[in-house]
Amino acid sequence: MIIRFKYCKKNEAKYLSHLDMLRILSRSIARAGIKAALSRGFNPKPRITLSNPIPLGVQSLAEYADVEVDVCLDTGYFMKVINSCLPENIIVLDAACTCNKLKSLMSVIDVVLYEFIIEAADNMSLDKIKSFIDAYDSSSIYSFFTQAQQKKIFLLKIYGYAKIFNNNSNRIFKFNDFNKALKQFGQSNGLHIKDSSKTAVFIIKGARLADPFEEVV
Amino acid sequence: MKSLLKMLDPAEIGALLENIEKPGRYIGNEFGIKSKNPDYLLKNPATVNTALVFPDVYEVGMSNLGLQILYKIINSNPLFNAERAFSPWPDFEDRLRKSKTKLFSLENRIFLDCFDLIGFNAAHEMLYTNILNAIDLSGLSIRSLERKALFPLVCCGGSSAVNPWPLSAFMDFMVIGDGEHVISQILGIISNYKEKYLNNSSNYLKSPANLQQVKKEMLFGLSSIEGVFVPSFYSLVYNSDNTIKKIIHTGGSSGITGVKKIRKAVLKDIDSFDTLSDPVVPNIQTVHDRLNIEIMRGCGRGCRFCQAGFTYRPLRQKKVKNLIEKSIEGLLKTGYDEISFTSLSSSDYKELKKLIEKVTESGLFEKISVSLPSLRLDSFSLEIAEIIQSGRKTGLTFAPEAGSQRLRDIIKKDISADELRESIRAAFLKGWTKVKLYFMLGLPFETDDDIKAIAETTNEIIYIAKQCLDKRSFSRLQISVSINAFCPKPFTPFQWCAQENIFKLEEKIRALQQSISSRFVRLHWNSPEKSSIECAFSRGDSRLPDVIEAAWKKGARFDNWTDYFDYGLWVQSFSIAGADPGFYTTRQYGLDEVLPWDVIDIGIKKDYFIKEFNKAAAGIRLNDNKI
Repeated sequence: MIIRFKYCKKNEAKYLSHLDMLRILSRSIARAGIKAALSRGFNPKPRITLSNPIPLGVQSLAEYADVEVDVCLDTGYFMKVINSCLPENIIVLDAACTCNKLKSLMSVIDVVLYEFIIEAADNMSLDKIKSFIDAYDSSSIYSFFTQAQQKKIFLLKIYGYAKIFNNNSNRIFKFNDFNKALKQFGQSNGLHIKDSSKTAVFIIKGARLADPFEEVV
Repeated sequence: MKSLLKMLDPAEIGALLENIEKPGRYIGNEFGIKSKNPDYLLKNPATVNTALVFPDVYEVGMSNLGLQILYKIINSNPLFNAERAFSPWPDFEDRLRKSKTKLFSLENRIFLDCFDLIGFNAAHEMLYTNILNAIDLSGLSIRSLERKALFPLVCCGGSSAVNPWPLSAFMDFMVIGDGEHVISQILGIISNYKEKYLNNSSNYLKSPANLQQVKKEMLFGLSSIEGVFVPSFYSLVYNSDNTIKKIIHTGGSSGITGVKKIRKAVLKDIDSFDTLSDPVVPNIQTVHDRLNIEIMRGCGRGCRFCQAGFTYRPLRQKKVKNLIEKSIEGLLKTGYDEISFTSLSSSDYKELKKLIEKVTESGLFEKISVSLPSLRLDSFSLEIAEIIQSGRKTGLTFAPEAGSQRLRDIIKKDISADELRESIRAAFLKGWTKVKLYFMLGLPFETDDDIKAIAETTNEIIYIAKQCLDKRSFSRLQISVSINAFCPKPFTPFQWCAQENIFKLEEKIRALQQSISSRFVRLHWNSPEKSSIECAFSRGDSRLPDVIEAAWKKGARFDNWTDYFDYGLWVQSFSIAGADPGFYTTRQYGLDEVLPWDVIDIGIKKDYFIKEFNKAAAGIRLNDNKI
């Protein structure tokens, strides 16, 4: 039996690494009184696997984890107890339980969505930023959103590939590289990144982006 | 009454932590935090705020049980608030200084100079420069007499505070002994003063003379608490040969004549405080990343070199029923899968086997590993080791401390050569192939033969292994020999002894290296230079604060970290302060000399130490542990 759950790493929790998260989730699950299945060997550890690592210092609203358990749990109950046992700023947002075998999260996740909140100088045109992103990676899919009241602040949503596809010569989207390039571009072009976060991950199903929970239900 | 607490603006954290190594060290946010929230502090401005600082990096500091115990006690009281802080790693110190940001607590990110009390854990001597650095990073003067404001008061406690002089110039007061009761008494007095003077009489304190009078009065009040030493009330008068002529009482009330010794605070009923079962659980991996359960305080062995063995007396064993309950509760509350039963000599706890079995076989946990920090080398310990390593056989650690029986008798390390042989044999027969051995070099009355005996013991172990192990296991044999230089410590029978000089120690290590040349043996040693500085601090007097300050100014930090310890810098610092390190290290102190730590009453009479020293000199080993 596997419980797949989605959680966020907000605020200061973004400074916790992938390995920290494994340890924190293992202990939180133990504190919640949920018995995770153990790995074999002299040093048995709870069987928990996580979705793709995120760079240290980046907020995420869409982290996923699979935990193997012996008995199926009501997911509402699971969320309630686990959330009372997690450190601050780590919150489980959704959960689902399945008896099926699941492919590991890291192997199935194809696309990651990052969002940047950017403040621009008055004379900045969106076209200029667009040509910067196209030049950075021509296969990028992105969009901009502006708010009516705050014209100078806009939201950039960029979809990046989490892996290389055999039939495609795509690039893996590396957050840190893009962030650095965008920062540099911004410095000479009057842009300031106010905030950034990972907001969703997807599995490509045909022509559509599917949520990792679809595998469970 | 307005709250004067200044906190770090949350918007600044991002820039502060950018590209900082292991930022998880500085963010708090752990499970099990007990501090009051900012709203509470705002609504209750009279709350006494204490910063508990372990002056090493987070991963080391969070492994310290004392910090967690005090944190729990203070925060259980609605009038008091405790928050944690640790030494910033040099990269973060640099960031703090460049951005002119003061050191702040992990919980509410309150700048340290806004606390009422800053309490340091002086767990060992090599932390002293980090203590100075943390005071400075808080925006305060490092010297207590230059800190004119009423608050924060700066204090320290912990193992190395038993000789208070090296830190005396920096501390408003120091606590000797167990802190459980003392901390609430201290905060009670501080609370009275905080309320009285911050509420309505602030004008009165605008006059520097009044302020100093009130501060002195408060310190005098604190000095009436058992175990509290106020350095500014005492001073040492020296003879022309730099030894101490007398200790004088210079402050407090004028009526006092003679010197009142500071009696160590002792928690008589060890079960009167609940064993901590809900510590803060770190988010990042720490040095001892497990549930620590203290099972005993003190040690009944009386090894003559061991300071903790004397300063933590009397031996107090906790009730096994409580320990079983609290261990299980702690594992459930924290989610740890490892538990450590800590004490100075855990195999002496009379119901250890029962405790381990009741916890691991409670049926509540599928897999719990147990670690014991200090096992003796005997058949009982082997049995325990087999239970806790449950088939893993990761390795056994033994501490014969000296190579020869003669020297073990002198230091009163209660292991006979036969016991040693038999235990090792039994360990090999049970399948262990990794053994770690601890020895000391430069012990009092040591001869070349005693050093040879270390090599002989090691070779004998290889010989036993050859007899007991089959060919395949024998090829996996690993003997790790760890060498430490002996350091004479206050409140031990060897407190007067000279430390061997560095060159001699290095020579002895080289000799040992040559005589242990088997491929099965790995020899490790700790730098004799570091040990020599540790010794100077342990036995230092009121001239040592100048040395520590000079070293800190030259950039000494994290002296316990081999990468950061710089012996040359320390030698220069001694010379700047006009002190001779040899006076505190390689010099034999006279039995009739006034010792700096004579100002502390540790609960054991000097005569007892002299008697023990004489027995050692005569090579007598007696099972007399009575004080």
